[in-house]
Amino acid sequence: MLQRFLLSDKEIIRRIKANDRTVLGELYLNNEKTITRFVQSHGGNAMDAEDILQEAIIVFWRNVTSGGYEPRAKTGTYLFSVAKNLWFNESRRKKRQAEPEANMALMADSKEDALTGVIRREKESGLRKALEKLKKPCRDILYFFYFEKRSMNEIAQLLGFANSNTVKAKKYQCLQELKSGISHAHR
Amino acid sequence: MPIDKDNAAEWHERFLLGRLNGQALKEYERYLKENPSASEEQRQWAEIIAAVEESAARAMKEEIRQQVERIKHHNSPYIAWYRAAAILFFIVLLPALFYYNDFGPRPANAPAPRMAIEEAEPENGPAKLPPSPAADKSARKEPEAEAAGQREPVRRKRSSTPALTRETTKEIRAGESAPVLSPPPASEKSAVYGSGTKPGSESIREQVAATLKQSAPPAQKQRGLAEDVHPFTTLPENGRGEGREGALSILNVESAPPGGAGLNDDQPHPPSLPVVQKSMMITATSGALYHVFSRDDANIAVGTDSISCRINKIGDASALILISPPQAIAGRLKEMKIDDSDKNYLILIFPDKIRYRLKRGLKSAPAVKMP
Repeated sequence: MLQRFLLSDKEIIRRIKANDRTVLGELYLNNEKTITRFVQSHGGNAMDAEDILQEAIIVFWRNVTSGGYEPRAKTGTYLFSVAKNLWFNESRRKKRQAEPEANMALMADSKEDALTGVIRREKESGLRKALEKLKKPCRDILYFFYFEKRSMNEIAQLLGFANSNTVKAKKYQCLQELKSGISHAHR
Repeated sequence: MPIDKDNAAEWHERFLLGRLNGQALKEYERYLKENPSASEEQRQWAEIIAAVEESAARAMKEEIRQQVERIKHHNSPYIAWYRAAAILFFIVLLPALFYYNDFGPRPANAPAPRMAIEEAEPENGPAKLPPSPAADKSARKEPEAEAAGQREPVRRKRSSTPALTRETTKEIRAGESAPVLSPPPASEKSAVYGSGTKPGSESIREQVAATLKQSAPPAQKQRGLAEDVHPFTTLPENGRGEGREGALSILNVESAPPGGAGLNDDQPHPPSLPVVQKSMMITATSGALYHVFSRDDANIAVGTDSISCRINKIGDASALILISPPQAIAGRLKEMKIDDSDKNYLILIFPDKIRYRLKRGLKSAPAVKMP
């Protein structure tokens, strides 16, 4: 509890860069009240607030790991502004879905027909299954590289590889595994 | 680095991850225009990256949820209560448990438990005990007694009734030869049901025997009527056994009046216990010695035609107890005479020729008024 209150922004960033995942829960609890109050006062419920806060933490995490985060404000303020934008986007999306005329226009504009949609969803499902089948180091490399956008040197350091070239080679193998997994899933 | 088929995948990645800028971005866009199949390749890469991102985001959300649950459970108020209960148990209850229960092995010469001592206390007073390891708090409050190595008997709570002494009551007649006896034991004095003492008639019997042994000089025995009527009082504990003046006969125990004034409220006589009021020594016509008591008993009505009597043979003497006699008789008990010339009946002769006949050989019988 005390540790949670004493957690400084620098410490949070340092831990995120070091892939210390325990900071996730602490960030959530530190900002839960503020963001829940905001979402609930703007037409959302507790579930929406939980989802928005999680999304905001993910955005913050990815920004820090990719090097896009500039600490101009406190972590709490940053998270709040991200959550606010996410909630407004979500509200707009919900509003558009609620309006039947706009919905119809959206469907008319969409070039994707039903068959293409089914094929796309099947592909996504196969990709997800193939990812789940991947072993831990492979999944971690892909997550670090594509999701967190970490550099090869960082990944090598975090996962204990000799250098970035080793990570590159390993990533290539992992992608081949994933592609073969996708093709197996489609059969 | 020029784009070709071998490194096209790397260029797609860099483009999709937003790592192309300036000249590199323009070069990549030109490559896509020149190679229509590259666009399809790029779309496949975009699908893979999107799937990885979606999967990673889902995994991260799940991780957040688990951590929050774990932290909330760790900081749960129930956990705090469990901790408080455990601390309370170890700080308060456990020492108390050891304090009030002597778990250690009892040595062979260790004194018996306190309650057992109290119940088995002899009539001559409490036994002297070594200090007990499980001494109660009342004993701790009396350091002097502890220092002397003596343990006071467990004293019951006493009321604030002023102490009744010879000086305050002035009921002992001057010049009378009151037998000097050891002070009555505290347990006797505070006889209550279930206390293990001998209340009632048995106690009286012992008192009479002791009195006969120690008092009553031969010259006095020769007299037809012993006039040593002793209205007695209950002495407080601190007034007992202080020299000859302070010493009282064990017979000199007078109960409280029915109202209870002047008695220790915490030690009332049980309702059915005999209430001895007066006693005297009377020599019968045959020379036999009778120790006569009169007592009021709330359970037995005062009768004019008959008086409930009880006779106990104690050594050479007999104790005759008149239970709830009429007021006129009780007041003039010292003038009573006993005629034991008849084999079957004992005649109690009171002043004004009032006579009662008591059948002999019975321990308890009514004395019937004779015409």
